[in-house]
Amino acid sequence: MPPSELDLLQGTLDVLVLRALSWQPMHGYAIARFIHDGSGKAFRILDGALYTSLHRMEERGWVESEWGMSDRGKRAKFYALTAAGRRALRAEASSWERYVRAVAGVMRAEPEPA
Amino acid sequence: MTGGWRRWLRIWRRTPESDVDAELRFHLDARTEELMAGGLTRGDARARALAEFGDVDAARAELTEIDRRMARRHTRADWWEAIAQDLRHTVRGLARAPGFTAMVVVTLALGIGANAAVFSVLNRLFLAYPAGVSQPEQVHRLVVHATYPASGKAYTRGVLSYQEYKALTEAVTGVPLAAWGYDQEHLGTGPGAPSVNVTLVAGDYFGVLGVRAAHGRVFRPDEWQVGTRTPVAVISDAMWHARFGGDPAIVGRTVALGVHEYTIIGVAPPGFRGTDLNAADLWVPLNSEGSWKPGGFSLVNSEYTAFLQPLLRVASAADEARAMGEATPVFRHSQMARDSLATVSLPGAAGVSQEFIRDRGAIVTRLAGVAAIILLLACANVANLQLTRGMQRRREIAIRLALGVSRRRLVGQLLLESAVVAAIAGAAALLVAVWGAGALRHALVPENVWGTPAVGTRVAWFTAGVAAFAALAAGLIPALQSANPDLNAALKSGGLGGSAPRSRTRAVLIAAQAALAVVLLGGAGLFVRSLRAVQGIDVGYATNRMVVASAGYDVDAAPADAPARSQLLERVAERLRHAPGVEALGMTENPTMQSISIMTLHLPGRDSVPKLDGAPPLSQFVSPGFFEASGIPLLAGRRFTDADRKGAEPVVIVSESMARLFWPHANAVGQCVIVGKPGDACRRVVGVVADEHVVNIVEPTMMNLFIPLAQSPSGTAAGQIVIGAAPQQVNAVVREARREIADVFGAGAIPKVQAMRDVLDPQLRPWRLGAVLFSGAGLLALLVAAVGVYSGMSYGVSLRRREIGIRLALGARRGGIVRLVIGQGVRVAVMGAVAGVIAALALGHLVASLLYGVTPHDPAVLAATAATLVLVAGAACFVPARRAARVDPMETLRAE
Repeated sequence: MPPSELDLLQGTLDVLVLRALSWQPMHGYAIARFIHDGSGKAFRILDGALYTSLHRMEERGWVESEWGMSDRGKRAKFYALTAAGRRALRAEASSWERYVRAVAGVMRAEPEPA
Repeated sequence: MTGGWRRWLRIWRRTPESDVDAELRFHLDARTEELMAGGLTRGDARARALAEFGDVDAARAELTEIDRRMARRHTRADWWEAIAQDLRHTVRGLARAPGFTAMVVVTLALGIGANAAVFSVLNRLFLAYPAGVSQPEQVHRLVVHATYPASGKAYTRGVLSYQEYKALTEAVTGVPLAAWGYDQEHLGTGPGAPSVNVTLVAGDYFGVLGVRAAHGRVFRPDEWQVGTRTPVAVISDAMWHARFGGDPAIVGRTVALGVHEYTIIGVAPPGFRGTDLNAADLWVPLNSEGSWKPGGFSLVNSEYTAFLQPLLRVASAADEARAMGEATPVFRHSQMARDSLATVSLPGAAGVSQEFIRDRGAIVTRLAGVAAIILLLACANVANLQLTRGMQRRREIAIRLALGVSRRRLVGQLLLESAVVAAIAGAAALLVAVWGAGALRHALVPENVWGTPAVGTRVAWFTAGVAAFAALAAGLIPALQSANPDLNAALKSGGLGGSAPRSRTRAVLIAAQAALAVVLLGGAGLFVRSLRAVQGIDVGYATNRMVVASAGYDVDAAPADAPARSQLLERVAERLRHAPGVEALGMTENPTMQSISIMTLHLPGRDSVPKLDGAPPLSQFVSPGFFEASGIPLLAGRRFTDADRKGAEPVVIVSESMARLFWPHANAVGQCVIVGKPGDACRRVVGVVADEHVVNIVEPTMMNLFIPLAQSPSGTAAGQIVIGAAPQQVNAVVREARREIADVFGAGAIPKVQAMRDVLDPQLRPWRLGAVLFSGAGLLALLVAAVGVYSGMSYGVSLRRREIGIRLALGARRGGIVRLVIGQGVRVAVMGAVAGVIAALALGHLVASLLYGVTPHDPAVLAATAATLVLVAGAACFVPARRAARVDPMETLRAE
């Protein structure tokens, strides 16, 4: 694995998963592909962590699951956002953006003349 | 089992484990395939997929754990959801049928409430520890199991004389021991002085009970040691508030018992009212002034006055055994060598008072049985109502079953309905219990202050338990039956037509109600006849016109010696002799039917005097006029006159049974009896009077011997005035006598004047109580059974409208239809009545000891009861029968 890949905090992974599901219900493998492709392959996410995030959010009531058929005709567990999940995504996403803006602001700032 | 088979099972029996496995397998398979599509070999692709995933086992464990948690929560949530849904459904259903609901709630509330009320009293009498005692299970009372020397009959004595108690304290070591005695005193003096319950305390009473004073202190050893006579008192919290307005400076104030002042040293904690049923108002040391009675009589010195209830605190069974081992020789050395000791726990009536157990305790335990029967009756009634309702809802239930509601859920829903109803009824029952237990307490032991509320935690729990039982008992059969309808039939017929087994269940329930009603009504009949029989007993005195009058005294306030008091009493008698309404007046030594005395008798030429059932004749000193005033009929000879005075010929009058036993073959008049030592002068029998009772309304015949007061050998003095009043003026004479006694005896005297019927009334109370309580229960039962028959028959008729319509159309007469319906109801009632009579015969022995003059198998009572029930059932069928007869055949046929 290239060393440039970033480790992700759990909360950040949750936001990514919610973001993935905001398009349409998906099974776990599709979510993994979505995040991997969408991040420009910059992140190193263990697939196991992804599933932990999914199940935790299901317990919290942010996503709900249902068994269905994958496009290849196999039984797969599909996840979908709940209303609570949608609200959580909005809240997490905006705080994430604030965080990103703050970090970017610090990075861009010129030191004040003494 | 093959792997494939197991996998197949897993699909069907989904578990968190199988779900997680399937999900992970899908992920790894999909990734492997994608990598293989990109050109990797299967082995490399698999290894890469696993590496990208991380620790598969750890992930599986964590996911499974999360899913299990979720599953558990869902199950719970589903369950609550279902309950809430059923509850809403139930409440809506009940609200839609307010008549049914009200009927069921009232019936069950009466049934549950009756049980709660009786339990409340039972609890207080036999189960509950007295309030305020710390670790009350360690405190024991001590009772003596003894036998009467003469008859050999066993009895239990819960009280000791002071001498016995003293010996006990010397023998028992290492176990805290104290005793208390009950006393009633007046607060201050004068006719209006309220009476209070005083507890006389010997030993470290408060220490043994573990009770600390809320204010001030309890008694010190130097105060309860006999011989010190310290006038100090501890008062109850209730008395502190009622008499002293909760004065914070209460310690040091005084309280007067009669003429004696006591210094208040402390206030007991709220709630503590002693260990007796009778709530104590204040506590004084046994040796203080109040326990010294007038005339120099001392409770402490009397060898035979047993009044102290010992209490001991034993921490362990070993302690208890040792203490009993030490105590037993004390009683073995006394004159009653066969006596043995036992400890009994604080609650319970054992040894408290034999009479109490016999009269009231017996009634309370029988009442518990009555209450149980009422509850069964109520349950049968409600079961029937629910069954009927279930039939009306058959269509609804069939539809729900057809829609896929499981039978289990349906039974649950129907049971829930009876649970909801029973819960409402249980709440209402608490109100019934508060009222009923209050009434019961008042009816059973009106002289007692109970000191605790009727409904406490334990009674509330009991009520909840009974309500739960009622919910099951009344709900189970209807629920099972209703949930099992013949689906097709019910859907097709739209709820018309009944099926045979179900109408049989209803008939059995109605018959059961009839049977239970017969049992209770029969009991009522027996108790009413007992009361009649006891009221009909001729005690020998003319109780409805007789008035007895004497004077009681406050301590030291009246002349202490008997002759002086007797002179005062004679002055009262002289004044009353010519008062309006007084027809005859006499004097007697002992209060009539309240105490007895026995004198040694001899007959010239005989070794011993005959005894009647082992009892010698009782003797009584009476004045001229006594027989006229008391209404005891003269059978032969003459009554006493003023000529029978000291110095004249010594005479006696004997009772009928004595005359017959002493001189079976001769005329008693003119015979000779020696009263006292064998060499004393002979007393000539001058008259024979009818037998009369000596103490109790219900007692075996006793022999009586009467001696003129004026000829008393030892100067016996008159103690009571006996007045024969005009029947309409009894109350006026009572008032007049009270006034005269107060006037002659002066302040400090307490006139004790009563109509004789009031003297005897307390003895009638248990009989009357039994009659009233059982009659009430019996009538209630009859009413419930009648309602049961009525509703059952009404429903039966509504089910059979079609059949009846067809019969009418085919030419049946309306009178025939009426007969048909009534006949059916009566047949069920007769079956129930027969079963009830059999049950009453079987249960009869349980009440036999409470009856007088009637056997529990009295055929007249049972026959009358059964007849009453059948008659009432027939009447209850009349309305449904008329409704059946008014069925319009055209209308029912058109409805097809």
